[in-house]
Amino acid sequence: MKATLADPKILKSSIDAISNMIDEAGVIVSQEGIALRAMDPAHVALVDFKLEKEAFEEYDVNETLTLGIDLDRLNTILKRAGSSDRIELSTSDDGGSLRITIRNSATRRFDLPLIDVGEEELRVPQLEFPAKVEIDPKILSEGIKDAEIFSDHVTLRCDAENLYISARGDLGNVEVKVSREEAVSFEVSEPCRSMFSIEYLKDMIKAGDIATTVRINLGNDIPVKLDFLAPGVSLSFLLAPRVESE
Amino acid sequence: MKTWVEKYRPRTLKEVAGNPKAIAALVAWVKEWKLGKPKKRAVLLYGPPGSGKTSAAYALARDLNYDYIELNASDWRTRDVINRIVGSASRFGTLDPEREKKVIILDEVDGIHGRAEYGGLAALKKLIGQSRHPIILIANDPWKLPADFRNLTLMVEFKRINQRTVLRVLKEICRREGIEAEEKVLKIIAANSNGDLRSAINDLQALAEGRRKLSLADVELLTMRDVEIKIFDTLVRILKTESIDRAREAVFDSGEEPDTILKWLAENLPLEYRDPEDLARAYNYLSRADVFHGRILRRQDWGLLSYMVDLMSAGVALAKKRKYPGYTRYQYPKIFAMYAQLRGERQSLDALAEKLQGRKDAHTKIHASKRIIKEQFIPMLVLLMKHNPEMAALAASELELELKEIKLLAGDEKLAGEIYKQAEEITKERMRRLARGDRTKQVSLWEF
Repeated sequence: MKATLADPKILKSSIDAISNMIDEAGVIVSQEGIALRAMDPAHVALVDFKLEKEAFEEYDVNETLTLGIDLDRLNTILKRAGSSDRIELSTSDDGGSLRITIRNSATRRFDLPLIDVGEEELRVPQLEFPAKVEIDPKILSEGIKDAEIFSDHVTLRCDAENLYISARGDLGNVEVKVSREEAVSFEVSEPCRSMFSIEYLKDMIKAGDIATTVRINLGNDIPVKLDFLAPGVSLSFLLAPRVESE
Repeated sequence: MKTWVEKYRPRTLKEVAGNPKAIAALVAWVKEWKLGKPKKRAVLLYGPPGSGKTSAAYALARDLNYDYIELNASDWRTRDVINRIVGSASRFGTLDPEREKKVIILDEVDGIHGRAEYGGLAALKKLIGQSRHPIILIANDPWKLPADFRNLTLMVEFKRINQRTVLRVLKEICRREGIEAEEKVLKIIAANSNGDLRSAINDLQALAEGRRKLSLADVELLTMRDVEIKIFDTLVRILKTESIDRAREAVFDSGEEPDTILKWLAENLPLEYRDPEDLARAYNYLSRADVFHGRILRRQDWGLLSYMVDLMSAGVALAKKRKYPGYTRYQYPKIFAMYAQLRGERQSLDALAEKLQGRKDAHTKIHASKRIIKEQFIPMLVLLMKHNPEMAALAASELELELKEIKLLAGDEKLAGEIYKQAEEITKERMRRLARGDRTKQVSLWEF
């Protein structure tokens, strides 16, 4: 296999967002593109990542491979690439490593040994979301940083007119309101709210800079699905909520 | 170190405590030897253990001013030995008459066992017939010996020593050892000994060795250590004898379970048998005895008991090639302490399992039987403690484990302390959240 990215940002940001939650994963390389789907060890978050072959400048894959990758390591390697660098992905000659070649004024070659990952069948929850709101990822990321001032958890709430990002703690409360008009797209069939851990959301919103839009799929005390939308890329996170404990 | 029994062994017949009749008979016999040939060349001293037979024999040799040769139960059967003793005097005459004067002491004569050993008895008869030396035979039970053999000897009976005499000897030893002993304590020892002076002295030494004072407060200790003291005597009797019968009797006389004696022997053999080969042989017999013990327990076949007893007593006694003189400070078997500790651990585990079950409060924790908790959850916790202290701390906080429970699981004091500290932090954090009114919990994706 051999795949070259002219713009490394998509891969860099995506892996940066994913690698904090998920240590290692089986990356499927096929004729369609590169895909990764995995759940974090606590089974709280699920990531579904696809980089279609159109996103690559050059994409030469004839077979389907599963590469077991230490995502943390991969992330540190990718961080070494600058924004004007070209990244080339291939397998090493012996097939035991993922070769990451960073080309600019020099050619830097990294070999990352592949690891064994158990092939776990992931059951993706089938959910109906009463609210689907598309906004600028920056609004979400700022809202979450605001919420963090007062709490470890953030409440996402929708009514017919607005999306609210709020948090309350013993030191104070915060509410960020995004109106129907301020949203890119706003579809809410019924009011709903769920609460989530900021720790997870902070990682997820790192993917914000690959996309111009994030779609927030929300319901009542069910997981939230964040879709980061960009051409040639599909990056979705599913995050289980915090619910009232008895 | 010498045993007090040896240290205070009487030097002359006059010093021998108790049994005045027997002593008088011996004094008379000594006179006969001094005047020439006596009617009987051998005396047979008989009576219960600790009644003074051995002491009298050595005191007699000293009174005669003769050297003595002590022969073991196994010695006199061999032709060589008999020739050496009988032959040397007759064949070579006497260059130095004084040096030729010897007393031959044969202990444990009644320890002769089985047909094969009657040959030994025949040899002994011959020895008595030809000997130019006084022969002293010692036996617990002379009636085991054939009548014609008994008739060759002058039989002198030793009776149990009365308590007052025992008490007097104990007091004298205390005085010479510089031990202040309350009379009551000594009286109890004397009463316990049942007329066996040797065991009384052994008891006293076991109790008083290394002390300055023996007070009434020790009486409690005495009754507590009563078993221990009795077992000391049993051990002495098994480990110091070379007679099959003596060794077996020691077990039968002891009020202790053979199993208990076996564990005492296992603990103390190395203190007594210093020759590794003797030790190896003794342990071999002991292990076989233990095999029989296992069979008895499994099959409830108490008919096998005599095999166990024979192996652990006679087997161990005859495993040695020579006697080991001296006092041995026997030790309390460590295995009993281990049992007690295991029992304690088992009880703590039971209590822990019950706690994890969460029966005591409404907050049910693990919905499983105590057996399942002990078999599956606790081993898991043990592994967690060892390999993943952070997770263990989380579990400890969640299960509200106390420090001693974590210690039990972690098996390491330092590690347990760290886990406990971490668990406390986690609990505090949770309490803080609760106080903040955060009543939410993270659920997993599996729930959808």
